[in-house]
Amino acid sequence: MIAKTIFAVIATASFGILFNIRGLNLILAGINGGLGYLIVSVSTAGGAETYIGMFLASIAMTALAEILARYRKAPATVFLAAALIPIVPGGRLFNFVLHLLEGDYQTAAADGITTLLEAGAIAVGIIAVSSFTKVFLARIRKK
Amino acid sequence: MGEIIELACRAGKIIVENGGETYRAEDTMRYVCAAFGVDECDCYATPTTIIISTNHGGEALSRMMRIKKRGVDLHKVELVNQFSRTIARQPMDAAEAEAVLAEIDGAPPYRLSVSVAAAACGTAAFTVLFGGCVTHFLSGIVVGGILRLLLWHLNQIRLDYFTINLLGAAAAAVCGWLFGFAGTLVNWWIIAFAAIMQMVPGLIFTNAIRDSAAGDLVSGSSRGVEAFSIVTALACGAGAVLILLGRLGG
Repeated sequence: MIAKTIFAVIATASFGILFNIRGLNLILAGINGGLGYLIVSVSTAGGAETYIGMFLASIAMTALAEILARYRKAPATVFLAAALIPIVPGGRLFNFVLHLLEGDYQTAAADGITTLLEAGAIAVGIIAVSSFTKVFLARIRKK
Repeated sequence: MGEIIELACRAGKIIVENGGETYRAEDTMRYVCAAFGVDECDCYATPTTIIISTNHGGEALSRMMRIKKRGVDLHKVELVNQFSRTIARQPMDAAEAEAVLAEIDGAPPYRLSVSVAAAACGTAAFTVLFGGCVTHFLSGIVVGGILRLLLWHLNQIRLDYFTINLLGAAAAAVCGWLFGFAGTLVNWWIIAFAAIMQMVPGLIFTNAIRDSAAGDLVSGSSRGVEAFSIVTALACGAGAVLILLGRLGG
């Protein structure tokens, strides 16, 4: 699990280069990607459904991205976009297509629904933290 | 006055063109206008258009820019973001600001060799995450690099994004099959899927959600459609090849 997390950091940082993220921000984005992957692995190993792990991971990653954004004076997207790639349900989506093409519609339907659930869980996590940050910061600025 | 809204519009355009959120583009335009003391400023950004309209001492002016290019360069977004904060704190004259923006817009991306190496490295790392073995890892390095080169060339000839993703995914599936020893390697498709991960619209998906959450529904839904059509293109490209190879006894 730890070894795979390190590979998730490498994968995120590599794809961060394709997004033209520079310098220390690249490493921080990589660490955020590793964090997300670790949370998904731990919660899945603990017996939770994958979408719950992804929800928790996207909350933690968005929170870290927002904190890093204030600290590094860069948009939060820099630390979030590449970091999400290891946890987006890309693999499951391809399984969905694969089963669909093989004519195994039952497995395909299950994969399709799970993919939607997982993508939805990630989205809800991002929205929750982003909105909270906005309200929270507005409060602080007012004081 | 004209050059100020031109400036604001260009700043917003750089952000939208390079993968920034809509609200960030609009905020930037407002900051720039405020820095030059424009009384009233309204702006509207979507992934394809930017409109800015100002009212200064009763004189109304507006400017619209069409956005044709859509890429990913978060470094530029970061630089324009810093530029708008700087200009709000310490005003500069329009010509100076113009020069700063031109420099940001011309900032080069990573060299091709670096991005090919990054794609190779990332693909190899993804084969491990997908449960591949050492052979998958080594093949992933080659296939990821090849795919990046191919995508770069497809971008150079200015194909539309749907076709690029369709062809890219098909090529990744073919390469994955070839480097999986013509499909004899167990789970050879792991290589293909790991290479395709570099085309997964992670940034567009993130922005679609962040835009919708910020209330920019037009941008949010159009980016959502964009992400969905990219995923469809990837699935069709890879799926078509997998079917053909399956039929050919691969």
